[in-house]
Amino acid sequence: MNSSEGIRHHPSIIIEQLLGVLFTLAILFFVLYETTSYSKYLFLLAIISVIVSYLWWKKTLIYFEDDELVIERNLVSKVKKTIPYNKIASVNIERKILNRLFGTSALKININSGVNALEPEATLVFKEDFAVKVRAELSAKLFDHSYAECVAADDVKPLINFTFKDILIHSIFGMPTGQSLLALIFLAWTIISLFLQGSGVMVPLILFILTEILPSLGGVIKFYNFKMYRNGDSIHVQHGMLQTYRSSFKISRINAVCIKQPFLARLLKKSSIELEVVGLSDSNGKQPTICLLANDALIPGVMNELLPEFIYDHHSIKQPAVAKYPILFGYSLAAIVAVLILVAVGFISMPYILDIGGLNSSSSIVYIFGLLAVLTVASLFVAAHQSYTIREFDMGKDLFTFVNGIVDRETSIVSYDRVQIIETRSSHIARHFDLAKCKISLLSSMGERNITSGYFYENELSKVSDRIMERLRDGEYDYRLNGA
Amino acid sequence: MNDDYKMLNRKSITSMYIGYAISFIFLIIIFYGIYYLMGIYNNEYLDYAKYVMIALTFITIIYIIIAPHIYYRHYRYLVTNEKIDIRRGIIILRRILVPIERIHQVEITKGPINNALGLADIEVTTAGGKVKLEFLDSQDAEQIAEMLNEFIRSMIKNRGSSIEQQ
Repeated sequence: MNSSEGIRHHPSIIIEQLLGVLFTLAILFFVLYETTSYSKYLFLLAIISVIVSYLWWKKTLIYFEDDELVIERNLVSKVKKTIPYNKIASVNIERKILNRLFGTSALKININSGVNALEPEATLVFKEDFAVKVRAELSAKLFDHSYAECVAADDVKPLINFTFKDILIHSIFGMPTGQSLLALIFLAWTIISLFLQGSGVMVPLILFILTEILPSLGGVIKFYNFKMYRNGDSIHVQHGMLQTYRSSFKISRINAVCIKQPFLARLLKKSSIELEVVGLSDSNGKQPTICLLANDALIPGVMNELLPEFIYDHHSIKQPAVAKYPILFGYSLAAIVAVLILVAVGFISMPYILDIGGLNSSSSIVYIFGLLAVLTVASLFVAAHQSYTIREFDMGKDLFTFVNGIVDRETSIVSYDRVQIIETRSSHIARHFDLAKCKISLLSSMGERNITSGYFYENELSKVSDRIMERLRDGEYDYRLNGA
Repeated sequence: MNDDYKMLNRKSITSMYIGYAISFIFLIIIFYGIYYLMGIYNNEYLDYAKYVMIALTFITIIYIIIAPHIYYRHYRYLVTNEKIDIRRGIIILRRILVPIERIHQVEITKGPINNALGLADIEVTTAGGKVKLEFLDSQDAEQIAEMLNEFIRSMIKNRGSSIEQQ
């Protein structure tokens, strides 16, 4: 792949770049056409944009050297970006609608850095077959398997065959419970409006579509034709209907594994697996999914095949009985604040509600706000109970686990070597029982990420930091595998 | 607690008081702005707003008087060739630990107040976030930053030579 002569992006990148600018200018033109004489200047701006984009394309050259990728631009100022191959964390292929029209693919190159975790370090647009070739050759350099193996990747039998039904289930039941609950409220509102009043359906219906239908549809489009497999020490994921998303990364680039069980999925006894790999978050900042919602019984098998490095004998510790006190104290404070806010809102809004005529007496308003306050307090106490029962903590030789969540359960398996900062914190009441919470900071798909434990005895939690330091001291930590 | 842990310079209390006082002035301006706007629009809840703002101002004043002393009493730090260990907090006590190996960058910052009092902050950056060692003596801060930079330099050098040997 060594190229002493520079390669240019595919010219379609000019159109891709100009599309947004020209669309904005066209709208401005139609708005200003009749009112001012400035609209002609928009043409000038459009021409300048086209010239700048063309020059940007013409003056940008890409070199694939033996050990590094070099992107040079000699426009107004000279820019030279060098990315050593050994710093690259992942190389992904994206095909948006425009790419499909022009037969191109966008190669997204990510390095393992918190600074550039959200945006790829470089995006290169080439003809599809050339992009696949470049990715395969880069993969061969990065992931220690041959070009032929990468090309044949599409033929590899995936670990689980996700049918359209599975993808639909994942898209609907994989959503956070808060969002599903909100959608359910909007749906109930729509139905009540339809049957009781026969009007005023549009607002709740639109809200229901925005909170449930569109995200579910988005999920189906995104995860359509979902395939994942492991090849040597790298994992490959591929999915997408309108936009094909292909991703490959080394196991050593995984900073944490998250097994997610939203409430509705728990009822169906299903879990999904997401990873923390730098540069692999999607446009919504979500972590890459390597296993859609699958039966709980299948998850250990998937972990065993895909991520055996993240398996160890678990001896989970539940929060001690005394942890109830700081949890209850925190939630009681939240309940008091919530009730005070409801009282203030009820008091301020009472004259307006009476004016609108929705309710005919102030006592009805007091009852409604009273009911809301009781429901809020009850939900907070249920949340406190759940917060006490769900959270777990577990330490292995190389990995440790925090189980978190109130309604949506999330198991985070983290390598000690990936923890950047450890913070133990305790309030006065927690200190009284020798309890603390532990917050660890690590490099994630989205930049920095914190994971906080529940309340455990401080001496138990301090073993995490002791183990991290011990690994550094004893040479168990290998910087070549973990260098961020 | 380990005896090697260091306390802050007492001048840090003065620095905190000045910092809080400036924030308090901004808070009063915001309160007054809200109250003034409510008055312009003849808001019927003007009296309630006044009581809430007086209560909040009172709580803030008490916090400002007490907080720097408690923060000073709780603050301890330890910098070794393995880790940075900080204990701090007012109501919630935190122990923050950063292995030196994870540090990418060390930065000394001196704001105008700290500069006048001969104090400085050290901010260390890791791949997972930043941690601040606050209100250090300027000289101590320089020494610690130099020591940390030296650790980082030697770490990179050792790694470079071990790669060359391979």
